Amino acid sequence: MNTSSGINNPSSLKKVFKKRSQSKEVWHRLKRNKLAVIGIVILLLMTLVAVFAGWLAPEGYDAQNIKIALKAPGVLKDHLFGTDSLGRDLLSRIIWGAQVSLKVGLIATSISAIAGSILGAVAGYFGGKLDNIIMRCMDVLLAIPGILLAIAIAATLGSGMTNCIIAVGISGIAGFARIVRSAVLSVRDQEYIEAARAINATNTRILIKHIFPNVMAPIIVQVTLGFANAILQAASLSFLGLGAQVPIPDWGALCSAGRSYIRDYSYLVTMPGLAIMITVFAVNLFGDGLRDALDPRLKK
Amino acid sequence: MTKYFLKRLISMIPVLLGVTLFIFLILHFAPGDPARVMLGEFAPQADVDKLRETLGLNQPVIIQYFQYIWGVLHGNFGMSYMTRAPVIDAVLSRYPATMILAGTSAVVMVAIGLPIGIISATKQYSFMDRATTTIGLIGVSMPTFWTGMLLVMLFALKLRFLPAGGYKTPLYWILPAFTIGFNAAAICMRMTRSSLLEVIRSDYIRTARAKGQTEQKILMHHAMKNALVPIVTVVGLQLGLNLGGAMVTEAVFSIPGLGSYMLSAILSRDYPVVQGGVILIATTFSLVNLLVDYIYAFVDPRIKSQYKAQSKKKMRKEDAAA
Repeated sequence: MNTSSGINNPSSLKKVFKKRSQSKEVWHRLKRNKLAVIGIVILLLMTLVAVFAGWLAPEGYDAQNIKIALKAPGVLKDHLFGTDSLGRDLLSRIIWGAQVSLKVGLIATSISAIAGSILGAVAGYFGGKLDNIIMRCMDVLLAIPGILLAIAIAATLGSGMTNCIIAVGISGIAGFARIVRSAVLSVRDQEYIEAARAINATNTRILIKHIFPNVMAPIIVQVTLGFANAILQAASLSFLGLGAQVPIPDWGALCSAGRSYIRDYSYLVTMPGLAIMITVFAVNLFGDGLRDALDPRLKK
Repeated sequence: MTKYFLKRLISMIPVLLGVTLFIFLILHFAPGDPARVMLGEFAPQADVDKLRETLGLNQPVIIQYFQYIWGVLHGNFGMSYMTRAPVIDAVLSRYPATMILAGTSAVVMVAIGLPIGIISATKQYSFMDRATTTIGLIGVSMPTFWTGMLLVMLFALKLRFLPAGGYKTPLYWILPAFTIGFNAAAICMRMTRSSLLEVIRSDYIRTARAKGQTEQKILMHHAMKNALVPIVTVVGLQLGLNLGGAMVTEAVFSIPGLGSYMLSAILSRDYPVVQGGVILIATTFSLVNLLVDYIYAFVDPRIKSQYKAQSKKKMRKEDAAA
C-alpha cells in the first residue's frame, strides 16, 4: 500500500527523479569527503582571519615595544605567540600576514589562470601555427624551474609585494596553458561545437559560451593547486628578500627575520612556518577533494 | 630509438634558444645601467659612456642578443659585473655543488617516497595508508626553507648530530639533501600510490593471483613494471625541480653552489651571472627530461616497440615511394 501511494504521489516522484545540477552533484560528493571538508573549514577560517585582521589582531603589525623584545610564547599574557626582536607581537604579525599571503596567492593565481587559460584555449581551439607558436613559448617557460623563473622575474622587476605577485603569476602561466589546451583539444571536435559553428556562432562566442564551461573542471583543480604553489613560491621569494619588504608581515619574510635568532628563539621561525604549512595543507586537502569530486570515474 | 633520441635532442635547441632570448630580454629591460653598476655610483659619466661602448651596450638589443648567443656558442657567457671574471668559470665552479645537492636529494626522494608509496597502495585504507598519505600531504605543504630550518633546529642545534651549514664533507650534505628530498619524497610517494592503485585493480593482476603467484612477485614483476612510467616521469621532473629548490636550500645552509651565487648576483644586479646560471640550469633541466624520455623505453617495452614500429612504417613508406 505504502509503495503504491508513494508512486501515486507526484511530489515523492519528483524527489526520486529530481536530477541534481552538475555543481550540486560536485558539492554533494565534496561534502562526503571528510578531509576535503576539513580543508574547506581551515581555508574559510584563514580567509576570515585575513579579512578581519584589523579586528582580530591584538596589535598593529608594526607596533613596537623594545622593552618586551624576544619574549617567548607564554611569558607575557598579552603576547600569546611571543614577541620579535623589536618587541612586536608575533601573533598580530601572523594574523596580518594571513592577509598578505592569501592576497598574493589569490592575485598571482588569478594572473596565471586568466592568462594561461586564454593562451591554452586559443592554442587548442585554433590549432595550427598559432598553437605551435604559443606552445613553444610555453615550453620555454616550462624549461626553467618554477621558483627560478619567479626569482629571475622578481630580480628584473625589483623587490616588493606587487612585483612578487607578478613574478609568481607569470611563472604559473605555462602550467595552466598546457592543461587548458589539452582540455580544449578534447572538446573542440564534439558535436555541440560543430552545431554552434553551423549556426554561425563566432569563435569568441564558441570559446566563451561552449568550450570554457566544458573545460572548467581541470581549470578549477589547477586553480587550487596553483594557489597552494603560489603561496609557497611567494613565501620563498620573501624569504630570499625578493618579496615583501619590511615591515610588511609576509609569512616568508617573518621566517627570514626569525632565522638570525633560530638558536635561542626558535618560535620566531616555527610559528610563521606553521601558518604557511597549515594554509597550504588546507588548500591541498580541498584541491585533492575537488579533483576527486570532479572526476567522472569516481562518480559511484 | 637512437633516431628518436637525436630528434628530441635537436628539438631542445629552439627551446634553449627561447630560454636565452627570454632571459636576455627580461634582464635587458631591468632597471639600472650595467656600466654604472660596474663602475660604481659616483663614477664620472664619461667613463660610464666609454665602458658602455666597450661592452657593446650602445648597440640595438637584437645585435646585443646575437653577440651574446655567439659568445655562448663559443663558451663565453660574458664577464661578471662585480668580479670582472668570466661568468662561465664562476658558474661551472659552483655547478657541481648544486648538482650534488639535487642528486642526493633525488636519492632521498626515491628512497623514502617509493617504498612508502608502495606500502600505502598495497594496504589501501589501512591506518598505515591514511597516516602516510597525510604525512605526504603535509610534506607537500611545507615550504622548503622551513623544512630546512626545522631540520637544523632538531639535528644541528638540539641533538648536535649534524652540521648546521657549509660544504666540506659528505656529512654536510645530509640535512640539505633531506630538506629538498623530504618535500620531493611526498610528491613521489603520492604518485607511486596513485599509479600503483590504478594498476593493482587490473585483470592481469587478478590473473597472476589466480595462477597462485606470490604477492611479492605480483607486485615486483607485474604491478611495478606497469606503474613505473608515471613514477619515472615524476622522479625526473622532481630531479629537475630540485635544481630550482637548491637555490633556496643553498641559502638556508650557506652552500656555495650555483643557487646561492645566482642569488647574490640578483641582489647585486650582476645580470651576466644570472643569465649564465639560468641557461645552465635550464639546459640541465631539459637534459634530465630527455633522459627520462629515454628511460621510458627501458621501463616500458611497449614504448620501445612503438618507436620501432614508427621507424619501420617510415621505412616502408620510403620504399613504397621509391
